Amino acid sequence: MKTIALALIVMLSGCTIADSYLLGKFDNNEYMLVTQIRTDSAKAIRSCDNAAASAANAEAIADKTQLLENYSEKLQHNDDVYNASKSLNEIAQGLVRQYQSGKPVSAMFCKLKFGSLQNSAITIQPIIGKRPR
Amino acid sequence: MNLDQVKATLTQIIQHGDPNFAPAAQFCMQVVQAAESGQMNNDEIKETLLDVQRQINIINDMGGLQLKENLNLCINALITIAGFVL
Repeated sequence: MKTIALALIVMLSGCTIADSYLLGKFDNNEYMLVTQIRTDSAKAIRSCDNAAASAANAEAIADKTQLLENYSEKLQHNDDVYNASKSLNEIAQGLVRQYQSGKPVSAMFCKLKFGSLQNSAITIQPIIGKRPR
Repeated sequence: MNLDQVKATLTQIIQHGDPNFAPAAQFCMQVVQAAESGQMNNDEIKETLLDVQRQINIINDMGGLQLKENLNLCINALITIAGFVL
């Protein structure tokens, strides 16, 4: 048994062990932000028939996705979450740009964009939540 | 690949039920249906299709992280096991 355990550890190359140990730790703020983005997106979908409310919702959620991107950027060993948060922010900024363009924004576009934000936050949330404490 | 083939492929992915890719495929199907019914203009269609790619990027980023975390769990378990036997 001792030999097997030793062999298993030796089999895992130094790089693999280092890479694994360099995994970012659970961060309360990061988890809270992605949970807020998920919750706010789900709520905002219900207001998509109201253009003024939706424009305000888009600005508010884009502020949160920008905050998540900026916050994730400087955390150690956090490249994967940072990259995901950048993509999440691009989704939100695309929504804001449509409202700022002055052209009419369809309710369907609003629903799909907030749905896209919700789906993506649902993908990110459990990964951040399972990180080692 | 024509539109019918695109829809058939998306349906297959949705029916497969993968917790990450099925919602992305469902989203893509909604974009196609909204475009067909004229509910969105060209700018909106283009932007929502870009979102599909962004969602896939997020799934890829998070998938890699999940594998890394699983590996971390294995290593910690092995070290614990080794601690008992050494």
